[in-house]
Amino acid sequence: MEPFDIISSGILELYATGAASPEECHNVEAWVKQYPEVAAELAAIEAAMESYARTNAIQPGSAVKGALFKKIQAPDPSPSVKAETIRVKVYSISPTWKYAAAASIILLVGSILFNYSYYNKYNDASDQLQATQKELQEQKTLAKAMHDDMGVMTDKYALPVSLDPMPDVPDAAARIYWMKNTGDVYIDPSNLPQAPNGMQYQFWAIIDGKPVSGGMITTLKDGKTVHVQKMKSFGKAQAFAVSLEKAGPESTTPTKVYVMGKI
Amino acid sequence: MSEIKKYGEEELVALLQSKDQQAFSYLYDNYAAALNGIIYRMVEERELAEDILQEAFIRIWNNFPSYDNTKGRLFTWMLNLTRNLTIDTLRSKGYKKQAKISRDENSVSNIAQDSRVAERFDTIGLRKQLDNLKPEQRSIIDLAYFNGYTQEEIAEQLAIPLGTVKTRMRTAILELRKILKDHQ
Repeated sequence: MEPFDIISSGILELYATGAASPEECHNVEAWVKQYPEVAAELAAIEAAMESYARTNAIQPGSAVKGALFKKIQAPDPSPSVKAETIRVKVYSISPTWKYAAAASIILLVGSILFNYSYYNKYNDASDQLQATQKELQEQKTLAKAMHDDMGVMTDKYALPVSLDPMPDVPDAAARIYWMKNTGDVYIDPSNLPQAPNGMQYQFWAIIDGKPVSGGMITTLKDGKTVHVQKMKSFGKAQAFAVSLEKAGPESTTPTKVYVMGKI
Repeated sequence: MSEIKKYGEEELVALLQSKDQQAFSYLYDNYAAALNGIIYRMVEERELAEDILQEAFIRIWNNFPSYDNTKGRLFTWMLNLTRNLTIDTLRSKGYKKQAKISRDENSVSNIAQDSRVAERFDTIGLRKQLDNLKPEQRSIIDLAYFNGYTQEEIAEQLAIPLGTVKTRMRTAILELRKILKDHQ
């Protein structure tokens, strides 16, 4: 198209009023660069339109500009823009708040000290409590053992049998409780002499004239003297005896009898 | 033009491309009312118009590096940006472009009664002279320029063939230019 045709067609007017299609816009922009007279005509049209727009101007509220500048002064999120100085707002703090802040720091420090002292006291108390509980547990265990022993001794079916010392060991003594209803046998070995190292007492029942092992006797457990303990059960027996044997597996025949009692 | 320009357009453009806030302040003072008037014509709601105006200026500020002054006048670029933003806003709010021809014909004088019309520019005398524009000439300019109508929409609205929209527009704007020239 020649410049004259472009100008007279009215396409520049459409462009200037925003009614041109994208393709027409593209053409106009090319012609403007190509033909100075087209550029001049478009400039004249645009100037007229600008004046026309101004006859319809409405002053916006004064707050709009302030709000606008606040927004554009915020950091620009677009990364292509060169870095600008960002104005950091400095807030002043009123004296009331300064005192309030100081007071809260003092309270905080006080609270930390208070908590520290109380934490130590708490730890001490906790340790004491644990010691007391351990002691109590030991007492309970002891009391239960005694209770069990008492239970055996006072059982209405319990037949107490004194095992008397052999002539060569006059200090030895033991007592058994034979439960007539169940055949259970309990022994209290606490009056036997301390077994030498590597030796242990063994319990025997004498049935039809023959010794039958009733198991090894524990005299010491955790450094404490053991009182009543359960041995093997015997439905019938004529006598019971205790012998000293080598520690370890049960012997088949008694080596050295210490005490014996007939029923 | 009766307003005193602090900056020439080229200088203003150069300053804005380097993100000069003072130049932007001048740009706002010089163009906000004209753009606001156009937005108001489209949305007919003052608060919404001012919201759009603010957003339009934010975009003008952010997009300024992409303004190419060889493609046209600064105001035209700002206006196109503003008009497109307004149309998008109206669409997103479910508005439709509604033709209010009867009102449009008199809208310039309606707005003239508005107490907030900018008076920095000598518009009163000019407005009177614009009454010399024929109503159909006023309509075709306003539908495109103030209402953002496309050629097709204008043809439909004015019940004229699409091919005559260009020539009618040219005639109307030539008449407008004549009035403006006489007024100077």
